[in-house]
Amino acid sequence: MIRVEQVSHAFHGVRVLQDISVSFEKGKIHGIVGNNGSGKTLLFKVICGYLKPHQGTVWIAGKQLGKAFDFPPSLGMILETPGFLFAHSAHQNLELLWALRGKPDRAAIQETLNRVGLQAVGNKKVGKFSLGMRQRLGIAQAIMESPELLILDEPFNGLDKQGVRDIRDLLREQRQRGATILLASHISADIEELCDTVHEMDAGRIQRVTG
Amino acid sequence: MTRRIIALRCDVGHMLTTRNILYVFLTTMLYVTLQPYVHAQGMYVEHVYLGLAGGFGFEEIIALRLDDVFIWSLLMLSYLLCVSGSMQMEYGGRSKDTLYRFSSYRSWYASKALAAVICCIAVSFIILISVICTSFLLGNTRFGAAVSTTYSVFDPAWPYCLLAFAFLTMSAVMLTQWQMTIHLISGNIVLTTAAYLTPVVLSLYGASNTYISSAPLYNPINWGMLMRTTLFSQPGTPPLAAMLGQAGIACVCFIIGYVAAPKVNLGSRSRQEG
Repeated sequence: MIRVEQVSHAFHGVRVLQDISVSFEKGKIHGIVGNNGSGKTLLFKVICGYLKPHQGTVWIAGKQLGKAFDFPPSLGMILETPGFLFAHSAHQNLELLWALRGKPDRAAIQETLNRVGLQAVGNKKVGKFSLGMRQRLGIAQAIMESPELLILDEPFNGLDKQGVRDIRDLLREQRQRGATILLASHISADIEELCDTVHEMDAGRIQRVTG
Repeated sequence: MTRRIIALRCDVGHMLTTRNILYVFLTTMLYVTLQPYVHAQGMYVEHVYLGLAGGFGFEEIIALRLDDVFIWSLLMLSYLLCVSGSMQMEYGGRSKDTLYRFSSYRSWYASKALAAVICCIAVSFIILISVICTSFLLGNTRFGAAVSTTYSVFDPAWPYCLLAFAFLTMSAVMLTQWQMTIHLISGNIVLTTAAYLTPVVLSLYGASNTYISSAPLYNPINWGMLMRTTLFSQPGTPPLAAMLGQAGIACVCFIIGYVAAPKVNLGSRSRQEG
C-alpha cells in the first residue's frame, strides 16, 4: 500500500503539486491521467523518492519515504526517457543495471527481452535502436527484477499498435503476479482499458478518482 | 557486501571504458615523445618515467615553463576524463535508472567515489605502462637507473619511481574527489572541468621551482614539487605526511559530497541521454 499525504511542491513560487492525498492499493494497476504539465511525472518522482516535496509525506508499506529509506525498496520504473548506454547491447545494458543490485540473472534477462519482443535484437547496440525499441527496453529494465512496485510514466510512448497491445498484456501479467503498478498516460484509452482505479490530474491536483 | 562489490565493478567499468583506456595510453605516449630528453641515447626507462611523473626538473635559472604546465595539465585530464565522463552520463539521465537500485543516495555516491579512487590507480598504471612502451619504442630499453638526492650521491631510481607513482595517484585521487563534489552539487560539466583544472594549472604554474623559487613547501596538488621538496630541497615534507595530507583533503571532499548527495535532488536531473 502506498499513501501520499498532503503533498505540495513549488518551482520558483509556482505550485506544481497542490495538497495531494491519495492511496494506492497493493496488487492493482492505478492510472494517472492528465494533460502535459498536470503534475503526473512530478507525483511519480515524489513517490519514487527522486523529489523531496516541500510539504507532505509518502508512506510505502507503512514506512515513511525519506526516513526509513530513500527509495521504495522493491521498485522498477520508467520515468521520462530511459538512460541507456548507446555503445552497449540491449542485453549488456540490462546486465549492467541488474549488476547494481546483485549478480545478474542472464536467463531472466533473456526471458524479459523475449517478453518485450526484443529477443532478436538483444545483442544489437542500443544506439541503433528505434524509439519504440528503446521504449520496450525501458520497460524490460523496469520489470526484469520482478519488483513489487512498478512506476511507469508514459510507457506506450513511441510504440506501434502491436507494441501497445504487447505491453498491455505484459502489465496485466505483472498485476497477476502481485505487483502494484502506477501508470501515467495522457491517452485516456490506455488507462481505461488497463487500470483498476483512475486518478485525473489537472494543475497539480487530483481532480477525480474513479474505480 | 557481494552486491556492493558487483556494483562497484560496474561503476569502475563505466569509468574505464576501452575508449578511455586508449585515450590515456595514447596521450601519455604523446607527452613522453614531446619531451626532448627521451630522445637522447642511453636514457633509462626509470628516467623517462620520472621525467613525466616526477614533475618539474630543477633549474638554476628561474624561468616560466609553460610547456611543462601545459603537458602536466593535459596528463591530469586523463583522470578527469574517465571520472567526469561517467558521472556526466549519470547526471545527464542515466541516474534515473541507477539511483533506485542502490539502497540510498549516499550508497550510490559512495560507490561512485570509491570507483573513482580505483579508476585513478588504474589510470596511473596505464600511464606507467604507456611510458614503458614508449620508452621501448624510442629505443630506451635499459632499466637500473640511478639518481642523486640530498641524502646520497647515487641511489637506485626505482624507489623514486614508486614515490612519483604514489604522489601522482594521490594527487589525482584528491582532485577527482574535489571534482566529483563540484559535479554533484552543480551538475555542470563545464564548471566541474574548470574546478578540476584551475587548481592544477595554478599549482603547477605558481609552485614550480622553475618559476617561483620561494613557493610554499607543501602544495598538495603539485606532486612534482612534493617529490622535489622531499628529496632535493630540504627541509622538505616527509612523503608519508605529504600523502596523508592529500588523503585528508580527498576525505573532506568525499564527506562533503556524501552529506550533500541526498540534498541535491539528483533524481530530478535529466538533461541528455546516455
